[in-house]
Amino acid sequence: MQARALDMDVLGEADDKTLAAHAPENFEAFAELYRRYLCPVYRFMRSQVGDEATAEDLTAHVFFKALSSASSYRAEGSYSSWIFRIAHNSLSTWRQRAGRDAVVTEEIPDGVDPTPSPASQVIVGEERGLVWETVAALPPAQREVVALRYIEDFSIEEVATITRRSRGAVRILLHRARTRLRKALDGKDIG
Amino acid sequence: MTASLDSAIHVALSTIWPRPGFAESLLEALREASLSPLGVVEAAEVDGHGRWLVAAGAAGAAGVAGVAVFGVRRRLKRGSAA
Repeated sequence: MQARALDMDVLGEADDKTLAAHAPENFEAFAELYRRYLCPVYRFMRSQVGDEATAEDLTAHVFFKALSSASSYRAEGSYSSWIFRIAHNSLSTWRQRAGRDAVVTEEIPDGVDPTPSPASQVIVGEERGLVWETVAALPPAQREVVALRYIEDFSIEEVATITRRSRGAVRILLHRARTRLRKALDGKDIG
Repeated sequence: MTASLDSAIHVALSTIWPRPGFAESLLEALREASLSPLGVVEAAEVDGHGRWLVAAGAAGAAGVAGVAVFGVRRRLKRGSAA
């Protein structure tokens, strides 16, 4: 069985699809995928909901679902698209249950980047907060496609697949979001 | 402006990190849940504050044999009421 043949010493070097193929029977393969995607999934959730605790619970739900559904992953698409599809579904269900279409994140996350890049050192504090507040004030659909595009660098096609929208619809949402962002940040010393 | 706008958005969204300890505690809960066949994963709203509990139900021959509730565990660790 291929799953049993996975060398535990090279888990960190294995690609996502190899790990995903072993994940149903090998928890360490799943754990490696978890390590790769925890931060992106958490960032996505944190950018969509108003508080840290809800973002944590939704993130947890995504990974429990990914664990229990590991055998349903098909290698036609990327693992990242697959797990963000779960994230999209979890978020959609959460929003539907209590009509949370207008959640606005007022609290700026205070996470600390352990390895700040030159760019992140430039855009800090007040500037980062301004961008964050502007993104958080976007309508939910715009906020979601912006997060998928900018957190995980998904292509238009991937965002469309994850959110089950047409590519045209995603382009329109992104265009409207960027227009709002540009307008909100116009005149501010960003970047 | 386009490049700087894109860069600003990317950086603002990419400098969010889970609180210390979250990654480890969730991984521990997942590892425990993996020890039994997972039959059901449900997310349920359980109180008026929109908190979610994540339940990993272990489906055995006799049905649901056990439940790992990450949400409850997290709040217990924080010392608040579940």
